[in-house]
Amino acid sequence: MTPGFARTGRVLALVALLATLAACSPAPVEPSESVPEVADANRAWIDGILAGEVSDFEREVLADYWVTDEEYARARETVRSCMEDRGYEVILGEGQMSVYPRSGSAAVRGTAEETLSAQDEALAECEAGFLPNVEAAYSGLRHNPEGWSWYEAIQACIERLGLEELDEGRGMPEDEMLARLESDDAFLWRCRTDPWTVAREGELPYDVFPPPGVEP
Amino acid sequence: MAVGFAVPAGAVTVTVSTPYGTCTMDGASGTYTATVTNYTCGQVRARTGYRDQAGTVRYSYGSWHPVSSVATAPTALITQRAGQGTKNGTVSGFVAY
Repeated sequence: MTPGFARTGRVLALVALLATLAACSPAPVEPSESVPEVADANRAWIDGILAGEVSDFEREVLADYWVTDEEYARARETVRSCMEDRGYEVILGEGQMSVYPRSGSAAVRGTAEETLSAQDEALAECEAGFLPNVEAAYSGLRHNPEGWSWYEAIQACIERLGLEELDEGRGMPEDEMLARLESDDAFLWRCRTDPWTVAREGELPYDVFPPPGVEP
Repeated sequence: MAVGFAVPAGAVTVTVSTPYGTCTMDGASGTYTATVTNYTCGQVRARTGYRDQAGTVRYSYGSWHPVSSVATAPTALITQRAGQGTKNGTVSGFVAY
């Protein structure tokens, strides 16, 4: 074989290889969800998470200060797959997951207490590096886009509802408010379950029952 | 914090969990309630035990949430809604704290 012929052959092989690789490569992934503007307080919170011990997966997901639905689903599926490998059934629901040891699997231990303890431990191991930080960011960034502290949210809730019964809490120092909340179940009861959502939406998507003796 | 944590009608226990081995938290849990104190954890979740139709106790784990959103430091009753909802027959659409 002449050197020129060999060179031509190598070029053709390279072209064929590149063509094959191009055919096998996935199409460029279009972002399925645009990343919204993230409040400074929430950026600082995520920075705090990233400053701690985080996995490569968590670092990659949190790098843009947002967790997309797709990233969240991937994290949960990873946990489910890990648990299934250990003998558990996992049902992913909205905001929760149910876990059952498969009958006859090694996940079932001698007593109910031992079975639950093993289940908790397996879940913790499967979730580590995948779910706690990512899920907290997923829900926290959506639930509290302003990055309000609890006290800021309570004040925003008071303003939003504009009820006379809440006036006493308006501008009350935080320490004083905490002490009052500890001692008085009726105080600010409309805001204390979830002040973030009430401040934003004006109400909660479920009924909140007042403490005994308080009119709804 | 409300993110749709559903407490089954047969709920028997609600407990609080923290990420594995990464932080500390004091607290106490009762049948339907739990409190959290002195935490260094960034996240917290509730675990609900309930009886299925066969009477077997099963467990459901709520989403992880930033602890700052559920703890009205220094002490928070984070599962009060679970108790109220269950007692009143409301079994879904509310959170466990």
